[in-house]
Amino acid sequence: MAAIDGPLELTAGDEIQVRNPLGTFRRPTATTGWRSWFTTVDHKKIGIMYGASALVFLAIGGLEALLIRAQLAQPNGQVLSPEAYNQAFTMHGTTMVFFVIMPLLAAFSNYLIPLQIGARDVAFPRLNALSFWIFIGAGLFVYSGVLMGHIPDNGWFNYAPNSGLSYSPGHGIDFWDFGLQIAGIASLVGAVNLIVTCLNMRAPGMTLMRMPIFTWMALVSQFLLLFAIPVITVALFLLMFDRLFGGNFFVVDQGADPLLWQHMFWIFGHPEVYILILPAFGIISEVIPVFARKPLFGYPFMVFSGIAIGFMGWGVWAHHMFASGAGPVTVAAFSLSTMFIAVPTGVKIFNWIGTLWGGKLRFTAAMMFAVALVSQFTIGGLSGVTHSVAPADTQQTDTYYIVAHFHYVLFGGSLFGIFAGFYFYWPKIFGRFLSERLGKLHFWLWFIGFNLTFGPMHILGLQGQPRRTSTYAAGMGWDLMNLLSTIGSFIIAIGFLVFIYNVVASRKNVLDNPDPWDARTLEWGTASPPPAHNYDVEPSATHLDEWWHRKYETDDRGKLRRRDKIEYLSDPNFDASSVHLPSPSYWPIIVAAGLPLVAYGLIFTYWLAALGGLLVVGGLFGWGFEPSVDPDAGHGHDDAPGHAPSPEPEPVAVGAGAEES
Amino acid sequence: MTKSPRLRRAGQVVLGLALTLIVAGCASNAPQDTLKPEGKYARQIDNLFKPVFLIAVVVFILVEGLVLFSVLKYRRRSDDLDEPADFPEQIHGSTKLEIGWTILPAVVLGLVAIVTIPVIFTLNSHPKGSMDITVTGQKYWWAYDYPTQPDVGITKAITTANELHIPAGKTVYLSLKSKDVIHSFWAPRLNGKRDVVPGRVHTWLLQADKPGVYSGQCAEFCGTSHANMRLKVVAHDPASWDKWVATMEAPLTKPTSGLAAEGYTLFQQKGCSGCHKVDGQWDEVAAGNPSAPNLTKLFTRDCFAGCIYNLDDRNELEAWLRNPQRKAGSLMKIGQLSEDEIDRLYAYLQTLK
Repeated sequence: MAAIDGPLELTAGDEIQVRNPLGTFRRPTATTGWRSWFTTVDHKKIGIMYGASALVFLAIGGLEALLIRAQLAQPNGQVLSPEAYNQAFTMHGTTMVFFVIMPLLAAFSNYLIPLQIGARDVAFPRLNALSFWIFIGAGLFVYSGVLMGHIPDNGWFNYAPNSGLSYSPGHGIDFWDFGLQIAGIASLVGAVNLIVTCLNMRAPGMTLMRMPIFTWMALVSQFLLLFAIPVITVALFLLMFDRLFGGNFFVVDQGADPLLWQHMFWIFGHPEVYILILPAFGIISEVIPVFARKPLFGYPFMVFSGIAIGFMGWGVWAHHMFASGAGPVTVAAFSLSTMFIAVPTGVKIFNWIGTLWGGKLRFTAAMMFAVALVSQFTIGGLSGVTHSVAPADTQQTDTYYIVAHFHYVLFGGSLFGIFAGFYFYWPKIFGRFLSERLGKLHFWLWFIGFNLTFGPMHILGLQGQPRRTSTYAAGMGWDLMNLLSTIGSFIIAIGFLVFIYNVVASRKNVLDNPDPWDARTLEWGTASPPPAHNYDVEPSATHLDEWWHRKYETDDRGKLRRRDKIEYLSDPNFDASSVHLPSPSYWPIIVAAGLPLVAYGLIFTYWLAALGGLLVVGGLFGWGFEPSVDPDAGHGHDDAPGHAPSPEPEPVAVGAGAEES
Repeated sequence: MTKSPRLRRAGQVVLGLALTLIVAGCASNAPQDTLKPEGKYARQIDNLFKPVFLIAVVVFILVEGLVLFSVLKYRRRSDDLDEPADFPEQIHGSTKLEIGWTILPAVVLGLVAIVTIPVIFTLNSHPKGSMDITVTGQKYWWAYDYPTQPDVGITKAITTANELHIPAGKTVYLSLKSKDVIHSFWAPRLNGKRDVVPGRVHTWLLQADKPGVYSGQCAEFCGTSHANMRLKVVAHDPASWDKWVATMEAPLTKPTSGLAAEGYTLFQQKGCSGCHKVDGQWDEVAAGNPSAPNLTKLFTRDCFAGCIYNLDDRNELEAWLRNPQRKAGSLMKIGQLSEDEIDRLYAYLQTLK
């Protein structure tokens, strides 16, 4: 073997002898067709799968929300039993946080980060596939419990000691606990992968302060995940020991203090809020400048306020516990930290307004969702400030005022941002438009439905309606607002159906220009959808908003004009077979399949756990001996000569399509 | 610009609707309204909340106004050409503005902090001359224990359930305990809420300015019937407080004949006395049984079973005796009773006053 003088890596070529380490099956080679999705390591396909599965979970979580609202439409509702109601709100919260918003943001992060920084893929493509399959495993695992009747019913916060065996017998809490542990592995693996990608894989010239703002916000949220997930994993692990092996970590009779759970849960739980919102902030910070025809106002302040939120987000968790009996000094400290985290958030709001100010605003569906985020998040942020006043929070906490607050943040904020992203990036990802008409209909249904559902909850909370209550008596003054809220929730459901119809109908709206919005960042400089290798031309950056600067320049008189010669990042004559991409692999899905088996095994019979453990260990073993680029594979892609024609639309190359625009 | 009047009209409709809703919301009679405090602690909180809320409203109007103004003013006109010459000025930011909108909110929040912190300490204080009551939360009802304290006329410890009786005007110092999981004691018009955590004793203050009945309920999710763990705080004027204490301290008379006497024996035969105490009559509850409300002066109360049923409606109590599981998650277990037995038990319970 030759002496190693470069960085350590597996060399591609003839030296590698281990081809099929377990000798059972050959390495997959397909990059097209339905089978390829199970073995793909392409960050774009993985992103699409994250998005698609999260939308399915969104439909499920939404149905659970409709059940809740149906039950509460009137006093003394009879739609759900108290048991079923508790299961519905537990599954609604768990689903929306862990299986909808997190994976939707993972979808955007996976798809966009490598493109935005001009990379071929993420740093560890197989790990990326692994985190997706683990996430799917976690979601299916939790819902398999639901189908078997093991439905958790202690809320997404799952406070001790009600989560213990004596108060929650049955396996519902076990399914919840294992499901979140597994989902946590997915987030952790993904966080490490994307952090390394952002730090190590940027194109030449793409300095940190030229990194697109979405990538920045996603990077901050990956760091939050990296540190927050271990905290909840510890809590979940202790609870697992309590329930399965008599661990007594949260059993009061054995000397435990149940507030331990609350602290661990919220040390995770509050950074989690920023994990859920920062990438959505990033999305609209991409959308608003494009449709305002102006650069993002105060880019460096946007970056640093995001980082500031990331740091301060660790010092506010006990504001979820202002009523739980901490001493006045503790309460005062967390009250102050919570007030001041509003400052960097406010900076963001004002910078978005600064971006809108003086622009030429084009109100596409994406822009409408983005501007709605600004105004709705403002409401959520302001009600947040009223919670930071700890004495006032002793009235507000655990009431519908809080429910209103965090839905304005997570629905009016995160989800609206995510849907701005859907309308904006759909052409990039699929080479097709979502209909603007339907998109605007969707927007108005959601804007009205959302505010009608959650606006009245502010009043309900201030009028003393506690949350997580399966029913309420007549004569409490809550009837009208609850009814309105229920009506609103069904309007939201109709809006979602419009979106789904829009997706289905978009098959016909094929793009003729890969940069339909005249956008600013690198990813719009390649074909739509991008080829497997992302860029035909090796990207480099000399500016923030690199793609914009490749299209426009200021002339001698300081006037903006289109460049005569644009340096495109796609090349119709490019030979894709010259690119070495990581090869597909079975191992991620095999390793991922082992984890739910371990969990079933620990709940029902240890034999299954042994089988699952074998899959995980064997899978990692096989993985370890598999070179990331298959030495046997021709460096083929779906766009390489000699392959069957792709069923996908031919990507629209910029050089070909952009001339007439 | 044909859209503008239509937009304005739509805006007016939305605004009108929102105002109507807010007014309708606030005007309605809501017994747990946090914005209508009836005691000094609730009022301190309210006095803090309302100005902060007002600041929030001002910021809201400012921000939403700026957004709305930008949206209307800077919409791309239909005659705009999508050419670089027509692009707006490419402004990248302004450090002055950034510093301004960092410092200004920080200053406003600093002011909010200054007024907030003293109230945090007041709410956590132990005022001199306050009266002591121990509150015990459990699935899904509240128990109250009044230790002997002659300065408020209590010469013999009192135990009751669901309805907390206090003298109006008096500051009450609550010690909060839990028998099982975490609950939260909350009577919104008298103070905020405080969690009731097993293994801990939390303290909390309560004070009502005027005599009256104040509604409240458990505010921390505690299981199946969390929604049905309600409570009442009854504040008395001095005369009626003395009367209440006297009633609670007076010994019961044991029924000697008729349905009530039969009910008395049935109370033990059916196992009721295994969990429910009746002072002077059934004092020993069986070890290991779930704790159940002390029924000593049951018929001085208005409500039972976590204050979700009225006691003055005979049908409610009879329905309860037929099937305590009508309240989901109720820990009360009683075999099938005949209508005769229910009548006898009811007759006995009626003597508990």
